[in-house]
Amino acid sequence: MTDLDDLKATWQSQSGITQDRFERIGSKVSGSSGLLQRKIFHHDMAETAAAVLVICFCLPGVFYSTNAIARMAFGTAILGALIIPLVLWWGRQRKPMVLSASNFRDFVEVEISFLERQIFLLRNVAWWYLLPCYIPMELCFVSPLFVRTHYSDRNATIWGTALLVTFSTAFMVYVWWMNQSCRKRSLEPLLQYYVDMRAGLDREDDSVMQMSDAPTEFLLSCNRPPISKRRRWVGIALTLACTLSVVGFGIYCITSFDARTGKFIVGCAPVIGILMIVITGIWRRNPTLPHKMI
Amino acid sequence: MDTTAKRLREERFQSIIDENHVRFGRIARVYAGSDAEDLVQEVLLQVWRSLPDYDSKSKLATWAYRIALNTAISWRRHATRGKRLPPDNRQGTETLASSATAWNEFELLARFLDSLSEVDRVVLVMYLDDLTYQEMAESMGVSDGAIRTRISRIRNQLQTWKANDDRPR
Repeated sequence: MTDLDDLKATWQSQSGITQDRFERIGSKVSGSSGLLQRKIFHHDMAETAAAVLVICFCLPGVFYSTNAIARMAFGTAILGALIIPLVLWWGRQRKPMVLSASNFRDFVEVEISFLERQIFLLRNVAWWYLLPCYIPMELCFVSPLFVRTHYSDRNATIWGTALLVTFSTAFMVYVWWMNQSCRKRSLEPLLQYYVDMRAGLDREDDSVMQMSDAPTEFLLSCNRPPISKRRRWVGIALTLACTLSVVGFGIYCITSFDARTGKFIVGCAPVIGILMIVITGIWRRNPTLPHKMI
Repeated sequence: MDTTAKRLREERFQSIIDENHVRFGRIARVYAGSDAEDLVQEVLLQVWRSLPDYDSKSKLATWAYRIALNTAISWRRHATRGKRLPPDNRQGTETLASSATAWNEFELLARFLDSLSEVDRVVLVMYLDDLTYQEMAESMGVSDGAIRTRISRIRNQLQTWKANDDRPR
């Protein structure tokens, strides 16, 4: 291997995949493309259906509830159901056709703009995603404080509410922190990688885009960042605390408020626990990364 | 989509497969290692989805080639899929290398490609695939002169790399 022309000869003597195999992949792709479109459509439909469901469920509450706090809770939930799908739709916008068929420079620009949008969304996740979920939830939790019935034990209600508010807030903070961590560990190095690539296109000298240390972090980063031991334990503790506090609140309801509601709340506790396990991702196994990238 | 448009799309797709399967296979091997087939599938999917937007401004083969390169670069960003396997493990990939010598030469080439920056790697792959300077410039969105300069620099880098290469022999 002495010159680029030798490299060319070596390169052209190779073929990664046989034509027969290639043909089979091709026919599979053209056949399954419609399937992919349908899958995306179903996903979008599921999101929209969930939003419609929330709106239908909460709308009567806004008009017919006698409790002002409950009205606010329902109203905020509706607002969230409108905002979240819209923001997600905006964030996903990227024309794969343009992305694929444009030249390298345009391709890098599209990737950068897509990543910047994703980073913007994650940076502001508290405003467009967490708060619309958090506010109705907290309003629901605090509403018993404003309802006086003959069952009511004021102190127990305050303690129960405080417990729920504390843990739900801690949980939201945890989710926010995970989002920020994902942004810093995955998206920002990737954005930097593409920004460097754009700079590499414009500059002719060797100072930019050498494959030295800079891209390593990108190459080692994953779509799903690995979960540290500390984060896993925090997630487990939060899950347990939330589940137990819901159980406690349910038992309190059974003994001093309304047995039926209390049983329902206790029944919800495992579901909340499972949901938290799923959301925090503490069940996930860390991917095994290659020791050496060549 | 009416029948004529559908048939045209299928014909173009078949023509792309016929003309580019060797090139796509090589790109997939360099960018995805043992996951070459997955990358080929992704490339073909992108080509298939983009075909309705093909505007005949450039040759179909060049247009599809550009898609393949862009998709390959995107592929690399997914580390779990785009991880580069050590040379020993790459032997699991399907290869038509006719002899051990050819295989070793290709391994050396793969290592040299790995030592380059992303932009230089793309340029070199296009050069090795016999694209003209004009086609390369069009694909990269830069001038012909910039491509020539870059090729010349890669040539120099190859000499330096050879001199410093401490690979086991």
